[in-house]
Amino acid sequence: MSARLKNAFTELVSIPEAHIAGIVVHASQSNLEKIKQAISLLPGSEIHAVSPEGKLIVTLEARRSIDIVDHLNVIHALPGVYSASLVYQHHEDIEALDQEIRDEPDASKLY
Amino acid sequence: MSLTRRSFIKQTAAATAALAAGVALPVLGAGANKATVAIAQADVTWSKAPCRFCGTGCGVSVGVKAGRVVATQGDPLAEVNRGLNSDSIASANEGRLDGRASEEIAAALAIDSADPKALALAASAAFEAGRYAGAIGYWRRLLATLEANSPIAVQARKNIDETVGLSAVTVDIRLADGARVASDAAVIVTARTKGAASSTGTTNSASVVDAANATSTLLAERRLSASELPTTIVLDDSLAINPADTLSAYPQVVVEARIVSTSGGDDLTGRSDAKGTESRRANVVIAAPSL
Repeated sequence: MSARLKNAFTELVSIPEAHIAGIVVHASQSNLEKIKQAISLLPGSEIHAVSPEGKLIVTLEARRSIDIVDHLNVIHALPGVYSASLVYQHHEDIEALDQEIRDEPDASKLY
Repeated sequence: MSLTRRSFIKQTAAATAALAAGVALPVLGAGANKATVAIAQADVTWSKAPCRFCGTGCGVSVGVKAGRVVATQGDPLAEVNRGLNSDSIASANEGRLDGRASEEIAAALAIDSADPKALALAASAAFEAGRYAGAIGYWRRLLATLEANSPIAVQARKNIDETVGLSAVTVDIRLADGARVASDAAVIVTARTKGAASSTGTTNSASVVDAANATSTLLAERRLSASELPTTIVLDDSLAINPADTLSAYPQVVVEARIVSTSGGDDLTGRSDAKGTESRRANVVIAAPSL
């Protein structure tokens, strides 16, 4: 690996990233309350919806992809969880992520 | 308005996951739709407008802030897409039309009793619930709003035929041993609602029969010739005397076959109950006259 490439990698790793994942958790209905509680205790997690048949829509937020994977594995290991699957994954610079989406003053070009 | 890229992407993540799982996200649920909440809280005035993508004209709420359009969303109060709302609710609910979807349909019909989408959904809901007469009624109302040869009208007619078939009563009629009738005598087969007096069972007495008939409604009538006996016939909605009183509307009916005496004696009758909502059968034996 050339020195230049190495430097580029080091620079890349030092940029703080944000990872956002959308996951579907399928859990047994009898344990649903406990599972909901356990998931909500994970840092960066949010439960968006729970279906009557025991499917939970959860988003995970973390600084590193390995943390997302860890959280996913933790959820998977909860008693009563049949499956936890990663459906959506996104990551980018943390600064870019906290930008506010501004009103488009001239949206006319879209039409 | 504070909508960050983070909350937008989080919403996208949740929506994509929900789509994959077939779960409906609550519209204003915990964090699920922060954009809508943010917009609702900001200084935005909501106005009505029609959607211009297709010819249906679904109602759209348009959020205007300082003279500029900043947001749009489906109008839950617009009569056109109220029906569509129930369609999506039903889709989210594994295609079941009961519960909240039903309430949406009822509300849509209250606003516009001839809304085709709502009528079609109401018919399906009634059919699902086993209320065949109701389903047929809605499909007829739907037909009235459509062009006769449109694909939806063809489907609606097919559905009506199927439902009439399902709610029909198949009747086996035969003469009891020893009963003799002239081969040219008329047999009148009727289906009535189960009146209070008819529960006394098979009887030959004309007065009791009349009493039973007085408390029940005639649903279908068919004439045969005695020479056709024994036979199997089908009674369905098409034989109804009054369009409001049909076989499909009553789960319990009494089928009676009567041979009208030409010689002035007692009529020969036989009757049988038919219960259930589909594939009903009745077995009628016309008894010999009591001596």
